[in-house]
Amino acid sequence: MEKVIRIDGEKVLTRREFLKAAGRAGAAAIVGYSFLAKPAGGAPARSVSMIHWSHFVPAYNPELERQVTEWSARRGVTARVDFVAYRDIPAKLAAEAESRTGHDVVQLRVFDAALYRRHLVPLDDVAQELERESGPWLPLARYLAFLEGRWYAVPWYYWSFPATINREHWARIGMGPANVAALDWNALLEAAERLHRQGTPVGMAISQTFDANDALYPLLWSFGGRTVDEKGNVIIESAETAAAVEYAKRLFRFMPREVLGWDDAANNRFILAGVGSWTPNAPSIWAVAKLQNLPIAGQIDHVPMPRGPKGRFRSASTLALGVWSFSPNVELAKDLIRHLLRPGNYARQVEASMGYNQPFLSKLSQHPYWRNEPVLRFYEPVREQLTVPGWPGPAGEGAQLVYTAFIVPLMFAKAVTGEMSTAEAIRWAARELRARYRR
Amino acid sequence: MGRSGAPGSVPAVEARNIAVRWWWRERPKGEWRLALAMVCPLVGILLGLMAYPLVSALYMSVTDKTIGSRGGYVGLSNFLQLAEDSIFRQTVGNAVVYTVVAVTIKTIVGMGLAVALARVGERGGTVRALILLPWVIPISITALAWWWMFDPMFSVINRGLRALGLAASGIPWLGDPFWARVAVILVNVWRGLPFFATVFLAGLLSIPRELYEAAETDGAGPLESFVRITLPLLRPVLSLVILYSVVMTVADFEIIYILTRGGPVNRTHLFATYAFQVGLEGTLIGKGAAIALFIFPVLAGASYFTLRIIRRGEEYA
Repeated sequence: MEKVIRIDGEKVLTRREFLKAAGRAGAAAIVGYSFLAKPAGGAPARSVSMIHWSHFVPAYNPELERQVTEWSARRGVTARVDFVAYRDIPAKLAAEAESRTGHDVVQLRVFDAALYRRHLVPLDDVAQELERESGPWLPLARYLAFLEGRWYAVPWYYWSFPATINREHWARIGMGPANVAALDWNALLEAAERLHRQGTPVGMAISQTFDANDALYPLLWSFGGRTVDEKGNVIIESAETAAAVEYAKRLFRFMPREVLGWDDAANNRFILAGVGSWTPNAPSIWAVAKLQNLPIAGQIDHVPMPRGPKGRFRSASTLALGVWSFSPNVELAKDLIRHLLRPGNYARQVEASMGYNQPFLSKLSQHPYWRNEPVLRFYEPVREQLTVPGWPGPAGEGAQLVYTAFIVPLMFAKAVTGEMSTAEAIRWAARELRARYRR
Repeated sequence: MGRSGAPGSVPAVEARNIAVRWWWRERPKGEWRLALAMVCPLVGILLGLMAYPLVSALYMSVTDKTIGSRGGYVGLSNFLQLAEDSIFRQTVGNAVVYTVVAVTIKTIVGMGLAVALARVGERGGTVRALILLPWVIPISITALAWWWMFDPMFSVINRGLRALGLAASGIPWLGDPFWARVAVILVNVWRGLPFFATVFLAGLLSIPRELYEAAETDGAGPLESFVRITLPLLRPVLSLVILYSVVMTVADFEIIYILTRGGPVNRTHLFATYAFQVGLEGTLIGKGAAIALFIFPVLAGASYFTLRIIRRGEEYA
């Protein structure tokens, strides 16, 4: 007997009619999906994808896109760059490595190449070819990407953290950029007090943000403190670390309390709003001000980070290019990397980034841009000791875990807020470091 | 008979035949079969989207899996490590403070708002629609607006406070551990309040007016009526909303991720944000799963009681 589907007692359709309709709808959905999922007819076009952070200097993104498009047209393939917020890149990479699917070319920050080396194609041929063309590689490049005798990534560019200053605020306390460039940490402390009194304080992130790593590690290093030694043994419990933390406590009194919650863009706003006098940052603040024709662009300058008892250090955020081992387009991906590091293309990238991007290959650093732009005279070439948070320990998982968990900024934050004494904060950091380096 | 050579194959074939005959006899028939066919996709979706991730997380939490590696079985080691993890202990404390304070405020203020709206009656239709706005707009958008309002440099709230002479130098909303907690709780309350008020209002409107009139005749004041009539009759709704809110609040992610990312000094981390930091940003996915699962017993208990309340409500209906 034919079953009838009824709603409120009224016949709507028979069961057979319902099943037929459902079957047709299902078939239509499958056919429709197959049309959407595959290109119509012929062999599928080869497609190369790349992930890159959304650059702090907005003019850089279109130039990168242009170069990738130019390459794809020359190779007869399709290519695209996905721009992702810098802060979201770690989770994106983790998801791609775990699911073994994603972009062909990935940007790898700091110790990512060491962390993901099991999933990356060795790029010895590309790295060696580029070194012959524009080398040698900086020691920092080898430290981060040349692992167990192989290049697991091709170092692309880095940006470093000098101090960004507002010249006019400093002029009001009688100091020119040359004086600020010569400061040691103690002299900065004296100046910070005066700047604080005139309502234009200094500020550095002491929060869970990457800028905090890049601001506070150089302070630690310049007092002689280290998180780990070359073998990865935790050595943060030292008189030198205590001196750095004590210093930060004194400097914190002259900074806005908001530095405890700053994100990577907060110190940019701090300077651009005309409030801040000094903050560790790459030249993106100046670049944005200049691109937007803000009057404050003329007041911004860059000087080296202050000197400490054990030297003058500068932290770098680094970017290398890697190719996933599960990429179906390894050779094309390698070719794209070569293209992006050709001297002509690289020069245009430097110009588009307004000098923000710094090269790992020595010949590429001879670009006149940095010499012609007085604001960048202390930025490139780097005169301080240049390194990355985690140095001098081994490049690997421990360093990356400490970097992403913001252990060093947290140590400083716990001490400056009075949540812990200096000794307790350092002991806390030592425990957290051991937990991450012993894995 | 070609397969009869294998030992024990005859009983196996017989057992299979019995099973097939039983299935054929008991197979779903008629409308029951149609119903089953319609329910199956939903069950499949539930299994795929809810059961699989849960089982997968349970499995990962007892391994030392890192991103891209299979990891080995480590038993309860991840959970034991968490007991020694000071950031995790801080996270537990944060979750308790965040949930208790936010849910308490939402309950009290939500009740007050519902009573006020009930008194306004039909004239308050527009207001009722407007107060739902915070709840219907995606939190990722509104949290960004709040983030801007809390900005140390451009905070409109601080500007207002300064103009009123209440805070000369402004409040470090997201920069100070105490104020950051206040800020995230404030946003959570702002977001959840409309839901509380609306459900409470529906409950209030379902209470027969005669009860209040009888109480008034007997000389009961407004407070006594509220305590002896409103609260007891609202209890099922109240319990349901509170338990539901506990589940949603303790598992919150977006507000913290957008406003503070767990800072300052880890004072606003909740389980979800800390699990994200450890599991995805830190790549220790086994430990991240253990952190996320730590709230599972709390959520399971809350869900159980919620369902019981719903069932009891159905019995009374």
